[in-house]
Amino acid sequence: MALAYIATKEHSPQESKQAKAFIDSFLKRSLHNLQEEEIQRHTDYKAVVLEHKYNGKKTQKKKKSKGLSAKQKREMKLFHLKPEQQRSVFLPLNELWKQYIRDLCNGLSPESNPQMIQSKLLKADFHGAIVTVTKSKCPSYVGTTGIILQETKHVFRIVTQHDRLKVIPKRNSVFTVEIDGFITHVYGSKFQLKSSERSAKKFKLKGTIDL
Amino acid sequence: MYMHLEQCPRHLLVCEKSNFTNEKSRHGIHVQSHYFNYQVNMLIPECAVLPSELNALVNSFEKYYLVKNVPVYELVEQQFIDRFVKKGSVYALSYNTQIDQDNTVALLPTGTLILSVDKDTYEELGLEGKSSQYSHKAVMRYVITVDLKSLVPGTAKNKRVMWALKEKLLVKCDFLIMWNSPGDEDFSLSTHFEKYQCKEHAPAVSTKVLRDLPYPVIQSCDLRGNPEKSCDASEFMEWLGAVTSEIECNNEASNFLSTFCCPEPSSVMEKAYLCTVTGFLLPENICKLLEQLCHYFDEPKFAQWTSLTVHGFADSPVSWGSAEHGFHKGGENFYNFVVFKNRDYWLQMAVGSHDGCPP
Amino acid sequence: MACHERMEDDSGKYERIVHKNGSSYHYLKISLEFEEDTSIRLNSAQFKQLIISSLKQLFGEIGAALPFDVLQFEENTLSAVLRVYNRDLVKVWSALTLLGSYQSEMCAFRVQQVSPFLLALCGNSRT
Repeated sequence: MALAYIATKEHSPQESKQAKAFIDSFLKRSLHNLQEEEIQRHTDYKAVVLEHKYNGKKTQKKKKSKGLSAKQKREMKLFHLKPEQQRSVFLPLNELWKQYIRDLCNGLSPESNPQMIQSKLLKADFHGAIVTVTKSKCPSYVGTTGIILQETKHVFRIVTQHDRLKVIPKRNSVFTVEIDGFITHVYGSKFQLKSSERSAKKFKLKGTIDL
Repeated sequence: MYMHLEQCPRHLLVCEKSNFTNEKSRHGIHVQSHYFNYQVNMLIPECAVLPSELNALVNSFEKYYLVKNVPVYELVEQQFIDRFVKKGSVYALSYNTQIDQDNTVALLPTGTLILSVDKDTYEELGLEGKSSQYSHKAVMRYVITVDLKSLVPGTAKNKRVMWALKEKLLVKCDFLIMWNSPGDEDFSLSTHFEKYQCKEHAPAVSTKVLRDLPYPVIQSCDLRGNPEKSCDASEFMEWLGAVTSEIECNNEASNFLSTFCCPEPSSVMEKAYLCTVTGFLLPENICKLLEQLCHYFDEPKFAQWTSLTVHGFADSPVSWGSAEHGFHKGGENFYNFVVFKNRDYWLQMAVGSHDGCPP
Repeated sequence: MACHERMEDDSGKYERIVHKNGSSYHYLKISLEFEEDTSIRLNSAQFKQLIISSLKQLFGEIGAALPFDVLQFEENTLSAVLRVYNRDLVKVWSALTLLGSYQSEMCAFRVQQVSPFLLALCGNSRT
């Protein structure tokens, strides 16, 4: 008994009382016709691994919360803007956007390189910008001006001077953005991306483009 | 060789026959609804001196103005509408603008303003219009119509039209303009367009007497012609074209240069009087001329018929009424009256490929 | 091709015929331009010969055999009126366009007006 105890103790320093009790009773039961000494002799100097315990790092798989699916978002009308919006509410947003663009371009001055500004604007966020539709295949969109409240893959939602929310498709329209005297034309058809995806996209230079 | 090489664009020729005394005769309507006339050719056979009444009419064609660099919004201005459009009939047509490449503007006497604009202008202008009837898959031309008489000042539509033409895109062109007023003239076009370079022009008249002219025999009752007795209307028209362009038409069949002949059966007239008026001509004047031409036969004459050809502007956005007109290859839109002794008349109306069927 | 519609009224005289592509000819008003001032003078026969040779260059013997008429020719301005069959219009026009020289002098044909009606040639508002 003592030996078995030792053996176990030698090989696994962290013994458990349960295991010791189990071994004792097991040997007694299976070798009941043998003397205690003989049992002792049988197990003498034999390494018997009685308990194996792996004590490595425990990997705890945490389930990441996925948030809401697109469908759920849609059902909850998360991106739904109410048709009545007040332009005055968004004027500070426009100021914020202007400041953001100025920071992005390291300050706008008449000497700034227009191409550099354009390439920055291409990747910039447009929420809060004041845009005007200058050209469109549909004439009734032409001349609409407002602050962009939301940009999706295919449309801009803007609030006009008359506090009306207008949805303007990007396709087949040319938008104009004015900031500190720099006027930029945005070809909507080439802009049909989510703003997050747009920042990563590489735009190719093209000689002439139709709407 | 290739079959498609042998095709050519369609053209239409409408021949009508009627009598001036016929109540249902529509000759007046046809003349009145062909708004923009460039040239009138009058051919009177067996005549060397124009009768005084006709001569007076020919020289009394109304004067027209050529105003340079006028922004189109001037025609939409309320003052212009009140002074001129509502008080008479204004004819205005942009000058030196080619309808197959430039923006063309026309103001019809009915008070309709027609802008025929190219695709880029249309997209930028922001006025609702229709795509041109004669465009292919990719529409390159649009037609915008604005009814000036129904335009109420202060309405959204009026503001939009003014905004588009004045602030959005300043469309400017030279205008041929004429005002047919009912009588009292408080204002004249020249004072109204004082700001712009405005010049008065009188139609140019040129006359010619042709001698020993072979001519095809025609009979008023037989529009289709008869191989033995008379020529048909289209043969006659070809001959008339040759006469007005002074093309020799007595060639032999073996001639190397040309085998063009006067259609058979033919005869020879001793002399013929050809009178041409060129300018920006009012349909009202042409109407009067046509009427007078009927009275030509009040006194006995040698001539069996007289003819009056009226050419429209090739770059006008309309041909007859408000039917759309395009240029394509020639932009021809003209009509020809053959007035017979017995007050019968033939009317031939011809258009090219970018035009609807004449009325 | 012609469609007829007859409207019998009281006098029984009104008649209307619509000819669609009624004319079998097309008429061209053209002029010949030399790049530099030259002493070259052409008479009408030489002028026609020049057009025939340009047709021959482009379409070979068949092109040279295309029938057409020089209705009018002015030696001073080197302008002319041609009459061609509808089916030959494209060929004649292309041959005129592609001609580049006469007696090793650079020249070009200008097609000023094309119409299926001879009458249309005298009233050209686009000049």
